[in-house]
Amino acid sequence: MSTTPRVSSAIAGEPAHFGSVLAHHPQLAERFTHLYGKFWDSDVLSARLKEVARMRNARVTECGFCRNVRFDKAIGEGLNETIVDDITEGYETSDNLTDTEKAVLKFTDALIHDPELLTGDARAALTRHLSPAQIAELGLGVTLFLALAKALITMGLEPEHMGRTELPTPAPAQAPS
Amino acid sequence: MSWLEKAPGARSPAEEFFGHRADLMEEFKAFYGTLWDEAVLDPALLEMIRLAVARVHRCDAELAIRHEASGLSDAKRAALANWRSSDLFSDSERVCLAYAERIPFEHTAITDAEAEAVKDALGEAGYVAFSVAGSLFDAMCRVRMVMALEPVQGDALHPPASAKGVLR
Repeated sequence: MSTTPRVSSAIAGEPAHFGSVLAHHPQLAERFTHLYGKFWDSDVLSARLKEVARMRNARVTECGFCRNVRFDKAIGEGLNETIVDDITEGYETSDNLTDTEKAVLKFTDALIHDPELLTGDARAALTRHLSPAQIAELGLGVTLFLALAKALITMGLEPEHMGRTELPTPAPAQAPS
Repeated sequence: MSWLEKAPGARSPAEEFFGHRADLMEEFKAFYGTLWDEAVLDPALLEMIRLAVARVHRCDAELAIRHEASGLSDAKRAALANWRSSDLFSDSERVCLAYAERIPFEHTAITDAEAEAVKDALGEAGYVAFSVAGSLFDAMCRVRMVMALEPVQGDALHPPASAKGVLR
């Protein structure tokens, strides 16, 4: 996996990162930023559950950038490092994760790794804990997390060194043109 | 048939799922649809990449979408399963197809040389669009499979997404 950018920034004076590289296509960048902000701004599914899914995606796809970023909205909703540390193999037996979080993790694994993981019991657990609107929001989020992680990795935008970094939660930008 | 109830007003299997969050689905269509609405890559190449990724997943729901207006010929479409031995594909297309097939399960193993080859074929901005598109196609196949979305029926002349159209 490369930690040397395979593409250059399209924004003068900025290093290559996802936003500056995506700026090679301004409309794609604008619409992604708007979508991602709207997704995180929605409270249909809590930011904590979204972050749990994002952390799982980061580990499975091996996205170092994704794994080290924490969004402040999820932290404000009680997500801490003890919980994050349990988002690994064997999360099913964690005492720190709620049953809803375990159902979210199973769905995430099924989407990003193997759809067969979403057995009848796992589907039942998911629909018991989440409404259809919440499952749709989760599905959209995991779709974006996965695509973002793979795009970052394949374009060589992974950091060589990065510690845990708390960032402001993405917010809706001005409506795109 | 999907295991989740259908969202009201849906016009496709994908909308039956994502339509449960209709406002976010509209934003997603605008973003995903940019690939086609703004022609960030040659539509025929985009179609080839999408189908190559779907073939790796054996995702019937994605393979059932035919963007006929993309300009991808029937002959090439039919030959995609055997593109390595077909003489219908250019060297640039071969480089892109080989790379696209790595995205679903081998994304961390893609080498600098493979990336450079696609960049040589498409230019730097083209490589960015290619990377984003390939990753989105992979994710869309996966969401179709985990939600057990039905293959879309008919209405084949349109792209998989458009800001003002249906999310297929």
